[in-house]
Amino acid sequence: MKLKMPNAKCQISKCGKFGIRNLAFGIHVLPGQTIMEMLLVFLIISMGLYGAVTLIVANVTHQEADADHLVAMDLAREQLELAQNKRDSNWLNDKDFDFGMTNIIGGCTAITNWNGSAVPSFVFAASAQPVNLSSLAVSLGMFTNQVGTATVFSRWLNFAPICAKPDHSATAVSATCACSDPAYTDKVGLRVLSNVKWTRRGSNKSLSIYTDMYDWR
Amino acid sequence: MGERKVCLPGYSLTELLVVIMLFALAMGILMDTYIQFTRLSHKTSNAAVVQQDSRFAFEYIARAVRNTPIDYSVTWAISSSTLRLLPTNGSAIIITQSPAGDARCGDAAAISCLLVSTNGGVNWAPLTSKSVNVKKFKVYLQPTTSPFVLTGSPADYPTDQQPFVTVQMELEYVAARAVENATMNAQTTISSRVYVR
Repeated sequence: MKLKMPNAKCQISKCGKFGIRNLAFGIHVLPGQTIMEMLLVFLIISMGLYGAVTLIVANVTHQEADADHLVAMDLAREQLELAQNKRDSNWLNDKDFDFGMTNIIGGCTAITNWNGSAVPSFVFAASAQPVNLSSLAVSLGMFTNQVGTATVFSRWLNFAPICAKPDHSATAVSATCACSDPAYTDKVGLRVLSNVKWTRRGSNKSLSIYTDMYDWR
Repeated sequence: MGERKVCLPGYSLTELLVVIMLFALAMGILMDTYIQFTRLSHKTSNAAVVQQDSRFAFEYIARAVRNTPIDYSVTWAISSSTLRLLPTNGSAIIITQSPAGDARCGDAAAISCLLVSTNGGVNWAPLTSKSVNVKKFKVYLQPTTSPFVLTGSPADYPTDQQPFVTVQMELEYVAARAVENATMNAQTTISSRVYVR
């Protein structure tokens, strides 16, 4: 390194690699940083920034996941409550407790037909159906499986009879809509499985809860 | 003795400007990151308050609807912003959305809260936290007439539908900075466990 100074007496021939070198003329030389040192500094700063950004993104993602999970749980519980309400209404109607749930045309998977005004019912659905914010005037903005603005959620129900042995010594949940196992012939209850699915940031999530309902209060 | 001179060459103006620019740039990025982080931290905290309020309000309403008869002494629309229940002691439980700035909320003028009364509307208490604005509180009731009271001649029950309530609630945490606001829109249904017939 060679520095040209205005004063002829202050010429430096070379400087040390590290620190300050005192030459005979009394000139102090500040060598500065090498490119490697600079790169190292940038690397360290970048790592710090990356950590902070990662923390922020993770924070937001988890907060959104929490909110989604809470909404999904409420939507799932709604389906179970509507199933419970159907059983209770069947009692008032003098119908079988599982009427409208295990005798749905198409099978025992269904969605709720509830738009805020008419009596709710269950209709067959082979898979989860979108939950929309209703565009009907009577239930504007309500979460429903009817027509409306799409949300990230979809849901469906599965009804499975709880069947008992003739002497009621044991029970089993049927895989079909009826008590088809010859060992478990008496229908004593109904397992209602409520499923909610949703997608957030390209990731698929799901939640399932169930309740067992019996033909007694 | 010869003259001893010390020459410190220092930095040129360009070098200084470049250094200052780089420093300013680095500080700008760091400050922006810090501000963003702080805002998101506040927003997350606000979202947690809204979620907690939503969970608490739904649990409170669910427990009340399950165990307390619907107050069919009043006329019900298909949907309303007030839920009325009538326990056997005769003191109605009323849960309603307050007007904005209601003194019963004890909050800012723009805030509407969820109010509950357990003595027929004599005393009220907020069910939601401070700074949480209830943007929507909608109650759907079915049936709108009691299925447990005989009417007409010959006397009959007007409906064979067990009562149930669907509640939709949209809450918003109103922060000092709008970017830190957090909202939550949720809904659930509760079927009455009051069996009369």
